[in-house]
Amino acid sequence: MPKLTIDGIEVEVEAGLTILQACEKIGIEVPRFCYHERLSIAGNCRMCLVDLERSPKPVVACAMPAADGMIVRTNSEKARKARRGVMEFLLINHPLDCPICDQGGECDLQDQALFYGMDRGRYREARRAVPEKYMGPLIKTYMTRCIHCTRCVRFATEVAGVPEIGAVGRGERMEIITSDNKAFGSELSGNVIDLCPVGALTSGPYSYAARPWELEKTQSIDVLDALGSNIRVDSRGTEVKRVLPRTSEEINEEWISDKTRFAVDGLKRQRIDRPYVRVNGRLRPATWGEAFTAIGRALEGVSGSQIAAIAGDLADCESMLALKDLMEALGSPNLDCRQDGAKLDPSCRAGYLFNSTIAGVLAADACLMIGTNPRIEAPVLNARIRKRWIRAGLPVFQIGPEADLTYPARHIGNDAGLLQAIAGGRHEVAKLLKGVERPMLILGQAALRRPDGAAILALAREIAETLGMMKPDIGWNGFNVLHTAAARVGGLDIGFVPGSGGLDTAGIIAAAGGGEIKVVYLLGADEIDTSGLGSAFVIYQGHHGDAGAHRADVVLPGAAYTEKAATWVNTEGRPQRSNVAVLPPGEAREDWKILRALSEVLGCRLPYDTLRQIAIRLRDVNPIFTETGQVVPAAWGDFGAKGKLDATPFVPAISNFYMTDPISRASVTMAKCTEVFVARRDEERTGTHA
Amino acid sequence: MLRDKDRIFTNIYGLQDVSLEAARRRGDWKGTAEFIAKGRSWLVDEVKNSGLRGRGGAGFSTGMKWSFMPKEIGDRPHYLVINADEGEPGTCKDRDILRHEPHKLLEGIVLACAAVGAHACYVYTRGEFFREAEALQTAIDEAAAAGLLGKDACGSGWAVDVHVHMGAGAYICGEESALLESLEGKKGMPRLKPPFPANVGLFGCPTTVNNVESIASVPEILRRGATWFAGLGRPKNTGTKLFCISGHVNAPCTVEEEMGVSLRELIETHCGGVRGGWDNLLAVIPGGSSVPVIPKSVCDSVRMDFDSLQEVKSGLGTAAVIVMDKSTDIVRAITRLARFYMHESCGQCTPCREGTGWMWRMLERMSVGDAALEEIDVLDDVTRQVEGHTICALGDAAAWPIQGLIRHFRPELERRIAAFHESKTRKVA
Amino acid sequence: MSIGTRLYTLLRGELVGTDSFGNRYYRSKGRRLHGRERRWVLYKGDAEATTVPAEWSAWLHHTAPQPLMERAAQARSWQKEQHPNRTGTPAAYRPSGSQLRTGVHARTDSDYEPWIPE
Repeated sequence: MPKLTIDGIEVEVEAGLTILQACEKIGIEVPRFCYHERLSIAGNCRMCLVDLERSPKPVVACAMPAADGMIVRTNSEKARKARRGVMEFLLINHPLDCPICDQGGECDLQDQALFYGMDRGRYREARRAVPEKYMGPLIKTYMTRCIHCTRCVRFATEVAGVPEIGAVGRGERMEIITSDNKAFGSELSGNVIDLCPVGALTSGPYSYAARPWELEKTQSIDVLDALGSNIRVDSRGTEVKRVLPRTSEEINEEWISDKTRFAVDGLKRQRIDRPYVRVNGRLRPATWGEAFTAIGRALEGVSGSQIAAIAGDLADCESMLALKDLMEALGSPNLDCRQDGAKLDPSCRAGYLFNSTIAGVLAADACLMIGTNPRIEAPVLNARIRKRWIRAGLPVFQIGPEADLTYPARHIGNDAGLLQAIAGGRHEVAKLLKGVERPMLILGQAALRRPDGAAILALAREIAETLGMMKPDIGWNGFNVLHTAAARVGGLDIGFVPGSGGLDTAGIIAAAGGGEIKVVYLLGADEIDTSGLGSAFVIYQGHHGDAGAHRADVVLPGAAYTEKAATWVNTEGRPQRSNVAVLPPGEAREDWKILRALSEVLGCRLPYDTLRQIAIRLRDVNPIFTETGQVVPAAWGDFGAKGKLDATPFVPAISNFYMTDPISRASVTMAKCTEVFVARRDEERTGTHA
Repeated sequence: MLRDKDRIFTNIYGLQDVSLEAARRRGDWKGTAEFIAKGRSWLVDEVKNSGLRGRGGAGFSTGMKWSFMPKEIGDRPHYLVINADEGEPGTCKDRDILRHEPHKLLEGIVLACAAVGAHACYVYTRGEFFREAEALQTAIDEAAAAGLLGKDACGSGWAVDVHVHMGAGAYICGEESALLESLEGKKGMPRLKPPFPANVGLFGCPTTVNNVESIASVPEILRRGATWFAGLGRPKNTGTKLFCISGHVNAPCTVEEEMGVSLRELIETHCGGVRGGWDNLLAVIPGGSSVPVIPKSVCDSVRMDFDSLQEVKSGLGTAAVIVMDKSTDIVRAITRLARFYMHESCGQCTPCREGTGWMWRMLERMSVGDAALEEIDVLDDVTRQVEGHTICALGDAAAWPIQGLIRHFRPELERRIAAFHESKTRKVA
Repeated sequence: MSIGTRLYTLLRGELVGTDSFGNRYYRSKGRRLHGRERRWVLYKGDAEATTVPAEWSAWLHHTAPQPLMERAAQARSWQKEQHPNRTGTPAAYRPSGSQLRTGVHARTDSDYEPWIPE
């Protein structure tokens, strides 16, 4: 533990920390541009120069390890002069276009120039101008502003694992470009916008949309994948302007995926803003009263077993609970939150959670992926796995469709039969997994959605048990299910699953098609085969006019995730709360309130009137909702069902990362991304293309 | 003047045969195995005692550098890297060693490898040194065939493999850590220090990077003894050194001389004097383009060694003496150097990337006088903002010549500025 | 209009004229303040300064020595009739695009695009 003196304050820090980190420990801020906690140290901006006693030159605080007996002065004349000099150099070729720069107001250079810069320029020569570069539809470049901190380059190579950004040229002519002038093809690409300390890389869709000081910032939770990344929703008036990551060491560090960040323009399109009732085969605008009356009429004389409910991928726990309570009151056991038909077993919580936790990935020693591509299904988790691979060379084995995961993975095959071989210990991978201390497996939805999903789930449990993934003595549970829907774990936790004698999703659709089920309530369920619902009366409650709404007989306008205070449980089993950033459009309401109002019309009033009361009800249903933001380790148990395996290969759970839910399908930005990254139509473009 | 018997590089002009046989006749490869048999610490101590200072420019004690290598070879191999990326303007000594004395270098490599615990040595030659690399490769092949390199180098039991790697012509790759980056296949950009190469060098392994001349001197030092080498020159600036004299002298040459020889003696004895006589001398850059220029008044008495030149606020550098007589436009000369540094700046760190261009542009204007008088101070300030604030020494190297110019030729700058403004006023009138 | 003003007007005031709104303009008889006569107005109805027409306003503020003639108000074809401040009245100014003017919300960039079933 070296002990050093910084600005007269004696501080003892852990070995290996740099001077800059030591300064931060005692609250002394050292200016910096290139240094970033989550990236490797470049030491090239030279802004963090500090005065070190017995060193003739000032040293860079970000790269110099703290050593015993060092005497550091961060604010001596020497340090200040060095900083002023560096700042002057940064500014000589930086355009003075802050008034039209999107970074204005949240620009590191702007802030630090205020504190450490000179009051006037001495540069009389011609300034450098750099042509714009094409980086894809998400990142807008203005390369004259670049200060060559190389944060973007380091992010691309280290965190994203897509080393497509680099610097070419040298000296003054050094420029940051993407390889081959192609779009930066990472699912995490938007993070370089946050990393860029100046306005060189800015958000394309958000360009010239708002100023940071006029935005209202709301802390919230992302629901476009199952990780529940912590986000900050920036809104102005009635409109969500952008989404930024919030630091959360447990989940997303400080990254978010491009879908999370850029799909928000989908919140403005295809919105259901008023109730609709189907009259003479056509949906007509209606009032809430008319819509509820129509539902009441449809339910007249219909017995409980003839009613069914399916919850979609974005549904929050409160509305699912309200719908479940309503169905119970109506006497229906037919409800399911697994609209994709995944054979998840609700009886054992450990059987459907990512038990190792996302942060726990950093402790894993080997990883077996079954029917999952985390790069597409959960890019932020994939960055965590990659981090583990960088730190300790995590061996990864893949069963399922072959995919580039940004780190080396051994593709064993695309055949469920391999699982039997591994479970039986016959496969060499079994030995490799058994040989390490903390092996883990990740079971994806591609494996669970198959007809033999339950058998695969049982096999995965067997693998976890026999290959040493269950080590309660060292607190290690290596069995992980990676979900793709934000609503899934919450739905299973509150028991939004068929009651005794109830039908599951496939059963409901079949029964509706066959006429046994008369009324189907879709809570934002769009990824089902709506054409199979036959002549059933369909109530759709949701926020986007997607597949479900088109088939519906009554459409009830609900709220999107930025418009309601609600709870979601992420794939680890971590309940998290969102907050209202903007109000739902038109006559749309928060979803649980709609169900509460409907229950009254149907004559079975739900016993909660406030968010607080429903929160208490949630806790009663499942105590995990008591601890918001915490993971409660789940008890191991028996789950899955032995059965015959299918010989068919796995099909990817998500075919297009950019379009997975009603919001991203409505997003223009995501449509552009699909064109560029999935259909790869960005050839022959340059920075001058719009 | 250095006596002929004290010369290390007896074939520096290539007047004799370069082959292994001829080199052996000149005394190379004699007793190499015995030296290795004396052990690592003996080798390091002997070189340390000889007072040999690195010949690449910085003048750091070679023996000391070797002693920084881990004593035991751990799980990471040790590497020796020879810096033959001789790009300093005015310098052409390593090139002659590669061409005419490759066996001295190779023997030095074997000894240095033994001293630092390395089994592999990379010689990073400048991209332009195509023929030199060929000559070196020929010598390596010869030596390997004769068993002097390879599994059992010189029969000492120590394995040494030598690989020649050609650079692509970037000046910055002569900086040791940029050289390592380039050798690893990356962009030649200097690394942050610490960690130093002796801990984390080539491919993350302990590495010693030495200049060609330093290593080529080692065999003779060991053969004749550290005391012989230490007896030459002056205390702390011992031994002999190759000087490359270019510019306005009657006979530009590379010559081996004792350290501490006076500049005037060096020029007058070996180069036939300054063009037009000593009094026609304007200034001398004594150590390659990156050290400050010294005016004639200093040249009259200065001695050519590290410490003496340091005293007159210049440096020995690579001992590439660039002589300029009174016909020289000194401002344009330094401007040209500034442009060189702007061109060769790697662009990694801010002060050098932005500062070199700024300094060059200001000097361009000043060389015709199109500047304000106060800008001389601004220029001086800019050089000081670059100096010492960069990752590698290129920033310093870019700043020093300009500081030297301002220190010694400020009146000349002021005269030009005044003349320019006067001519402008006259034109208007 | 306070009793004091009324009394003072009665005792010291000399009526100079009346404008189209019925406001009466007075000046002090003989008594001077800071070297000039006092001038004031008694409003008809509520005290509303914007009912003072330009020609009277000039006189009231000592910009013009004499009250401008009635015809001065209509001397130029481009002169508009004086009207009091309309803020808060139905005749208030509404810029184009104002929802209060048309009763219809004009579409802006920040509006959402509703789903319309086919």
